[in-house]
Formats: sequence, C-alpha cells, structure tokens
Amino acid sequence: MDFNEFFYLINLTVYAFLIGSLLLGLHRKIMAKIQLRPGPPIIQYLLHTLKFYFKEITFPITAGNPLYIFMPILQIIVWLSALILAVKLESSLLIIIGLYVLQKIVEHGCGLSSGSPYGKLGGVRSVFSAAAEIPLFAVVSTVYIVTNSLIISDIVSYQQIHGPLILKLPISAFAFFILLVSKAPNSPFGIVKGKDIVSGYLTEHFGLLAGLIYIGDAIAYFVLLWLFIAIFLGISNIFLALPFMILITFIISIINGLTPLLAPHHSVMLQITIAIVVLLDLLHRVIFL
Amino acid sequence: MDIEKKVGIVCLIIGMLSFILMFITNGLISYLFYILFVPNILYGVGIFIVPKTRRKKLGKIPFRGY
Amino acid sequence: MPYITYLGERMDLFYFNLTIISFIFGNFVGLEYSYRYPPYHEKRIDKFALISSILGGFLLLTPLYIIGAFFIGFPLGMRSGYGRIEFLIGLSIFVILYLIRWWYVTG
Repeated sequence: MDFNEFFYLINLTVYAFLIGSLLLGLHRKIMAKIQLRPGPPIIQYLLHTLKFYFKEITFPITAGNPLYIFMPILQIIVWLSALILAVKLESSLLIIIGLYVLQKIVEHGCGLSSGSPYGKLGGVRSVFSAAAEIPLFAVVSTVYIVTNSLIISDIVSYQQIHGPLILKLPISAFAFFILLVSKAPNSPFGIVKGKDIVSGYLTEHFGLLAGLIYIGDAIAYFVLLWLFIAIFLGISNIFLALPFMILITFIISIINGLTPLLAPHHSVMLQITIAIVVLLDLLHRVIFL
Repeated sequence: MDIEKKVGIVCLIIGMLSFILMFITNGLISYLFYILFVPNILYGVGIFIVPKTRRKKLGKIPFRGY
Repeated sequence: MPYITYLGERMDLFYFNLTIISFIFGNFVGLEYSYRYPPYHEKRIDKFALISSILGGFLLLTPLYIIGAFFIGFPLGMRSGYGRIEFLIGLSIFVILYLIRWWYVTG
C-alpha cells in the first residue's frame, strides 16, 4: 500500500474510535437522564480510555501471562479487521459474522487467563451466551434469500433499486437490533459483563489493558451500527450514517435504561426464542417464495 | 525486567516490522500488516510510558488470600 | 458541515476528524470552566457559553468550521445543570441557517 492508503486507513480508524466513544458516552448520558440522574458528560468514555491508558499498573501474579496480555491486543485486531473488511472493502457478510464469533474467544480468554473467579464466571457465561449468534446466522441466510448475495456492496446496491430491506425483512432487522442491544453496555442481555459478577471478564484487566479493550469496544460499536445501517437501511456512507447512528443509540439507551439485567438462562432463552422466530421466517421464505 | 516489559519489546518489534512490511506488500496482505501494526504499537508504547507502580507487593491483588 | 456533502474525498475524512477532535477539546474546556461554579445552578445563563455557542453556530457554516466545532462544544461539555439552554440556542441557529442555505441553493 502507498502512503495515501495508509493515511486513509489511519483516519478511518481514528474516526471509528472517536465516533464510537462519543456514541457510548451519549448512551451513558441518556441512560442517566432516564433514571433521573445528572449523568457524566458525553466525553466520559473518551476520558476513561485516556485515563486508563496512562495509568500506573500492576499485573496480578495469578494471571496466565502471555494470554493475559495478548487478549486486549486480539480485541483490537478482531475489530480493526471487521472495520476494514466492512467499511473499507465492503466485503462478505459471512467473514464479519466469523469475526463477531472470534469476539467470544476474547471474552473467554480474558476471563480465564486472569485467574479471578469473577473473570472466570464471565468467561463461562460468554460460552453459553453464544446463543446470540444463532439469530445472526438466520439473519444472514434470510438476507441471502432475498438479495441473492452476501457481499455488502451488492446488498447496498440492491437496496438502492428496491428500497430498504427493513421494510421487507422486519423480523430479521429486529433480531439484528437485539444483537446491537446485547453488545451495548448495561444491556439486559449483557450477562458477560453484568454487575452481578463485578465486571465479568473485564474484572482483572485494568490500567493499560482496560484502555486497549475500551478502544476495541468503541470500534466494535461503530462497526456494528454501521453494519445495521448498511444492511437494513442501505446507507453505506460513513458520514450519512451518522444521524442514524445517533438515532439508534438513542433507542438502545432507552431500552437499556428501562430494563433490568436478565438472569443468564432468561437471556439465553429469549435469544433462542428470537432465533426460532427468525428461522420460521426463513423457512416460510424458502418454501413459499 | 519483568515479563510485561519483555512482551512490550516483542510487540514493538512486531509493530515496526509490520509497519515496514505494510508499505512493501500490496493488496489484502498489507491490510493484515496494518491490523497487526496498530494494537502492537499501542501496547508497546503504552507499557513504557505508564508510571512505575508504588505498590509494595507487586501483583498481589487483595481479596485473593494475600 | 456543508463540506461533508462533497463525499468520498479522502482528505475530507481527515478534516472531519480534526473537527471532531476540536469538538472534544471544546467539551473538555467547557467541563474545566464550569467546575469553578457550584453544582446545579439552574435558570442562569452563562455569558461566555452563550457567546461561544452563537459564534459556533455561525462558524460551522463557514470554512472555519473546525473552530466552530470547538465553540459549539464548549456549552455542551459543561457539567450537568449548565449550558443546556446555551447549547440549544447555538444548535438552533446552526440548523436554521443550514436550512435557509439549503433552500437558497436548491431552489
């Protein structure tokens, strides 16, 4: 790659990070307003990231060491690849779903490498919250049935001719939206880092490592919102997607502010129920259309 | 030197190498080197600029039987 | 912000990033500034914040939009109980001017 390409990639990464962190800060602010608290300023997520990045750190001696340090790096690797494959190259949807599944390895590895019982619980929960991926695959197959392609640029150009997919596939859009909700902080499906197990898999990743994980989370939030907007609304431009991102963050924070954290089995059962509904929709499309 | 600093040096070396290889190669491979470059540099730089810990017993987190 | 209508240009992303960073810096300065006052002093309009908000609303439509983002970030970043009305005034000025300009350009 030449220097122009590199410059563009760096800019894209910084853009995703800044927009993701501002949106997560806005999410926290709106949740606080719903719960009648003043709430932190919207740059709080960014300030937290900077604070953790420059903070003094001690590494627990119970940690399994190369894995313990490698996991935050893997988090950024996973979501940077998703960013480049989705936003830059507009490549296949299946690869991005595969990368989303890799995120589970990060959660599992973070939890189990730290040696903390809370982290271990978070890692174990992340394994059986893998039920969140079943609706995702159902969504992908439904989109394939309708548009005959899995390449994101093809899906976007299909929608420019036939109108947005959210009108044709409302159930799939809902399932994908539930995925966004479960990825956002303080969500009812967030059993992996729920406050009942201190911070889940993040419990013993503090200081610099927490800063790296926060950077990865901000990029992840940006990429997932962009995916939703590109697949179901047909807007692939990162500037035009910005108002929709703010709108979706608003809806997600209202949902997260009003619902309590579900128990693990309730969360899994709810996600499986949604998966069954989407699979029935898929079956109907395969048989009758 | 503790193991975290050693990992930091390894990360810096990987980051530098992928920075060079990124400009030599073309296509998808160069994106791969970019993806390796960013987090490794972030960790490698970060581990050397964090202040030295003032904790007496290194790595012994409370509530773990110490 | 009318500059983001020239989409697809690679340098545009760089300038947009600069705008966001300046906005964040404005937020930070506003936060530091408002911590000189006691918490929750409602129904009181800060002169600095009002001026900077109106200035930011105007500047966002000119080539100086990077500085405009700093000025409009100033009231938004202030601690809770401060700067809400000022920010809304600046934002509404920006939106009205943008709509007038859009109407003027298109027809």
